[in-house]
Amino acid sequence: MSRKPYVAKQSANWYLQNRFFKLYMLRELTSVPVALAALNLFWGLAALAGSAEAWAAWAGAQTHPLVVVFNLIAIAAACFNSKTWFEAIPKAMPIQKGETFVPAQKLIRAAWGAFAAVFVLLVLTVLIFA
Amino acid sequence: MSNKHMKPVYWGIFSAGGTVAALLLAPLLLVLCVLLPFGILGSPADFYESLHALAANKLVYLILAALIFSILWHGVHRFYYILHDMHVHVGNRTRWGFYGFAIVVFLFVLLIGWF
Repeated sequence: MSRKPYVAKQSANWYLQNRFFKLYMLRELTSVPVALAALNLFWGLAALAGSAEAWAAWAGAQTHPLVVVFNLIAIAAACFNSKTWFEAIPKAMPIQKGETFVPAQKLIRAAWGAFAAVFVLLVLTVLIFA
Repeated sequence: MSNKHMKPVYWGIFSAGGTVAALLLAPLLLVLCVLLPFGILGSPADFYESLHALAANKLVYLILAALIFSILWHGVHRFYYILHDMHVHVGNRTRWGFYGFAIVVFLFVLLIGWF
């Protein structure tokens, strides 16, 4: 008699069965708006390095209602990605100091600090150059 | 090259892209794709006048494009793994299709920006 092989059972909708899995799936799904936003940024970068007309076309497209909705969804997705990514930092690369590790909260706060600094720098850049 | 040996490469770009996205993406989108085009922080035309030359510099352009490329790679890589998690078994050909897409877009953007 041959042994029955082990088959791991996982239902097709396993990720809807509890909050942890749902949040996991939501986090992974941020990849879709994030990838689309990257394409939009590529377009903007090429336009900025290209002609004034190309830039005006890109900037104009950003004010289209559908693009605005997409951009807002992408911002929310990007923030969720930031939150989960920053919270993974202390797990992915814990920093040892002497006998103990730097507290997770400290690393997470430092990451949010960097995030805020990027935002402030960008706002200043636009205020100065635009 | 076998898939196994490529793992550090595609997971490496994935995590670089994730870090870039986590630190830069939301601020970039909010400031450059929403506030600037609506003229809330300044005029888009003036922004072009002041920063066109800098963005058109080949090295600066390469660096900025590489940052965006890492975000795109991060997105398609994660998307491949969601399909796996949702029991959609697309296989390696689709996987390389995703990576190929990110690389082709990157090269295309470099081509139109540089020449």
